[in-house]
Amino acid sequence: MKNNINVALYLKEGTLNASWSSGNQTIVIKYPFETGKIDQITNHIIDRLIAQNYETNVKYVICPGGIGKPLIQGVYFIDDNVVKEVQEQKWGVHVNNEVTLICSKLAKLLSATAIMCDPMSSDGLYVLNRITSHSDVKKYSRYHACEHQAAIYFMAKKLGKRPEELNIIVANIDDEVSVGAHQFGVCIDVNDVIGLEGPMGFKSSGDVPVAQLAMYTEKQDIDILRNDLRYKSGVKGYLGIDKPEKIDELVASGNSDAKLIADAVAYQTAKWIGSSAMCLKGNVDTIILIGKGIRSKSIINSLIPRIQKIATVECFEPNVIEYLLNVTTAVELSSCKILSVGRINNGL
Amino acid sequence: MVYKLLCINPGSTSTRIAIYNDNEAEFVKTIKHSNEELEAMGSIQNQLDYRYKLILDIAEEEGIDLAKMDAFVGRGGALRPMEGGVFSINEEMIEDCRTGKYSDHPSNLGCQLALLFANEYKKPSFVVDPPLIDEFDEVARVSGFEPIKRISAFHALNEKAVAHFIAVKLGKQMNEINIVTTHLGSGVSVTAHLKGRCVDNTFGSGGDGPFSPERCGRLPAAELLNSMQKFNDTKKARDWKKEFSKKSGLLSYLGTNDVITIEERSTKNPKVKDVLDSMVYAIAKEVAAYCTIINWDVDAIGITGAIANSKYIVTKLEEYLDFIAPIYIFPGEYEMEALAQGAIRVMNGEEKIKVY
Repeated sequence: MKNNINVALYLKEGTLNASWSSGNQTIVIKYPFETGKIDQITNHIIDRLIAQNYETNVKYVICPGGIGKPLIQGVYFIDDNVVKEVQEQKWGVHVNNEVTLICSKLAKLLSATAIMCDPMSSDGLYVLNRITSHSDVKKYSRYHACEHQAAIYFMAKKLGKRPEELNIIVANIDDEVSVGAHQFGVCIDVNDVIGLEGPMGFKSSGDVPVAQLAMYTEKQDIDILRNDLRYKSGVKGYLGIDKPEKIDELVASGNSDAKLIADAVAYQTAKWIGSSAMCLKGNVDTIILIGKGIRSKSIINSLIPRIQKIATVECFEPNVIEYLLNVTTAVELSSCKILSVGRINNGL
Repeated sequence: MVYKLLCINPGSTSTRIAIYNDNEAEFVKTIKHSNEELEAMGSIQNQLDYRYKLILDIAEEEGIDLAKMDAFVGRGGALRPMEGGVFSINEEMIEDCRTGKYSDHPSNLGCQLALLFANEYKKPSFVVDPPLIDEFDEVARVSGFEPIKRISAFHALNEKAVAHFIAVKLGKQMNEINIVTTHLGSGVSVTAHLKGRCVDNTFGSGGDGPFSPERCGRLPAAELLNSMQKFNDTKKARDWKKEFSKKSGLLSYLGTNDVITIEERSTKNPKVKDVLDSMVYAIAKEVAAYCTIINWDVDAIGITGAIANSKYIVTKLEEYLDFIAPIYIFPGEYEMEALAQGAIRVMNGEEKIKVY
């Protein structure tokens, strides 16, 4: 009889990573992710587990949660309420919604428990950050919460402290950019990446001057415009590319547009980091830069001089899979409690 | 030598005039105009003779000898976007203002009035830091959505004046220091002054940055589009645009843009307090954001505008921002001083006169 294992799922740059540990060995399988292929991907992972005789030994299947109703940061059962919310996507559209469904399906087929860690709708916003410029437009906390928490987890470990003892700013520079001010473990301010707030990313516009945007709807259908802003803007909209390495190639070849856009990503990200520093009253232990954008020297070399006087800047890609598997261990040891979404009326 | 100047600042409901002896104001007068009076004239351009005559009347009443002026200085004119400074008034400028080429704004009368007096008394005439100054770095123009560019629009005259005041206090030249200023009025703007150049600013009325008592600032773009769809039956794009400049911010939540009233209400109502405090918090966030534009190498932060008279708001801003740099408060507006000081700088040869 084999020992129980836990399976972690994490989607990164179009690849779904499924991983589990057995003894000293960590197995990672990668599968090209396509939307709408939930059964196919689930079956692929199960086949690999069967090949190793693990299909009856899985206790937890964990993933970063998708976007549901605002939740206090933590670990949650993926129950019917969660499944319904991410299926309907009424709180926001994101590929992590499908990963949550894969997680649920996989757990069901394996008679395991599906859980999600730091869902994208984790909400610890300070009350003054909830009020927008106009009473008819809402602000939500929707961001790469799991990636942020993973980065903080590894940084805290490195510093020999607990996340609850640190004030950290995390900037995830990716297709969308999220910048969060984490005060003693709680993200009190973050741009709403799904609402298209914040710095421009590799595909997402982030902030757009609102009066010009409103008038732009006179010449473009709102649904198409919203889609373009989310998936065809930012670096991709200006340069037609969404790979950090490609930006650097263009910059190296003397392309001045690429240089300007790399600077713009850095410039806008720096501004949000500056805001976060204010939210933390200047008490910032570390600024952590994560996401695929950190592979672009043009972006990072433009960004760091703007922010390095605020605090030490660390640039690394957190191992989210390892973080998730550690969370399942904490759950098993009862040092981390699994919450239930359905019972929570958090007033958020 | 002490220079004597007549400064003229036409606004939408008033014409302000002042006589300066160098930096000292000898006489300041605000001539109020009723909306009916101005509207009856049709266009802004049609108000030129009327305002000219009013200034002459005041001068006569007050015994001011306009022949003794060394120069005449007008506010702005909505001139083409360009670097700020002190400009001699020329025909091209007059033509752009007369026709409202860049914007139909009462300040278009400023240079015209100054030139009328200058021609009469054969003296020089200037404008100082006109409203559409554009000193943006290219990177500041990038919005994230290629078809839409960020544009420069801010309280240029007042914020530049405050930056100059701070430079004097620090005993430095403008080109030696980095400052972030925020103007707190019915509109709020935040500006980064990098060695004297305003390289980026938020622009109210539907740009980005913090909201103000009545103007909109940043909004999550997708959420705005969702709301536009939700309220499509009652509000069209143009209505939203109008709301961004007149009915957003505090007004949209609290039904008033009167900060004094809101402050009073906030002492009894926590929800009102949250809305007011969130405006102040958003301003502080933006000031901190703009400090990264100058690599967090900030010599000073300047706070100005009518709302800077609020002790409550200024104290909160100081609490939020004093970890970054020394803060200087200049409540109210300094447009008349800015006009006078700009003219004096060029007349003393401290700054070059620019040609439009």
